[in-house]
Amino acid sequence: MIDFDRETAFTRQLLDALTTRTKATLHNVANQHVPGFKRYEVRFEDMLREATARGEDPDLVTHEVARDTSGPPGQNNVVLMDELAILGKTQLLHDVMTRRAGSYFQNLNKAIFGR
Amino acid sequence: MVDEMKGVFRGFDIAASGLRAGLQRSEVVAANLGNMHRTGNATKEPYRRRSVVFEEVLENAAAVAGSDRADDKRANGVQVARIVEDHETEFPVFYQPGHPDADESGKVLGSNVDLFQELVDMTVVERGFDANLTALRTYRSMLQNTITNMSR
Repeated sequence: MIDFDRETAFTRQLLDALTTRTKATLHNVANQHVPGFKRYEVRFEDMLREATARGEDPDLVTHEVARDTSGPPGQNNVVLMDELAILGKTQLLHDVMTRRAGSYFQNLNKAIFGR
Repeated sequence: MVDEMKGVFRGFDIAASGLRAGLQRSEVVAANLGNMHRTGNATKEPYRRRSVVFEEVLENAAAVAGSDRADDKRANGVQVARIVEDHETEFPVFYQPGHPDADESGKVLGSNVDLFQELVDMTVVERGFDANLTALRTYRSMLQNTITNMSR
């Protein structure tokens, strides 16, 4: 029996993290002129690395939204170029992962229907 | 963790709030430029420069801005908090007898709008607008790619 949920679990977690990261970045860009604003960051990759190092199941790793409180207190820490770089990276990775999921279903289709 | 920033269309709303805030700021800059020659005197105040203060929008309205508890709130873009008048910069004084606003010693007060400052602000608004628009386009193409890549 094919367990769809298990086989696509990691792709789903990563896509979830990437979408949230894009929205956080949109929020950061929108707030680039707000006095005292501290940017949001979405952590996933480092948590994945830690979980694998501890020998845990990587499929169970979920992302985490946190405030990046770096920089002087009460001062906006959004750097527009950094946010746009994050946006570009996230978009590329998102494209890769959606293609991966698409080809997984395409292969299943081939196996079942032969086309 | 409560589900944060869920909903596909929230991304568009966030970017739109950034665009809207930028537009409001450019309107204030336009008002400053349009009124920069409005004179006055001791009894009648000349035009005061206005500037916009932005604030972050979180879904939970009672949330205190700047707190580091990010997990139970939903980021929701930006809005104009208030428009403040510039009470720090002095009004420049001109000697112009015969001017309708001149007092008995011939002095006229000009507005405290600085033309070059406004032009710089205008450029900053434009860059911010472009950045929000780029981010919006990226988000849109990500959603579009999800549909095309996963439905083959």
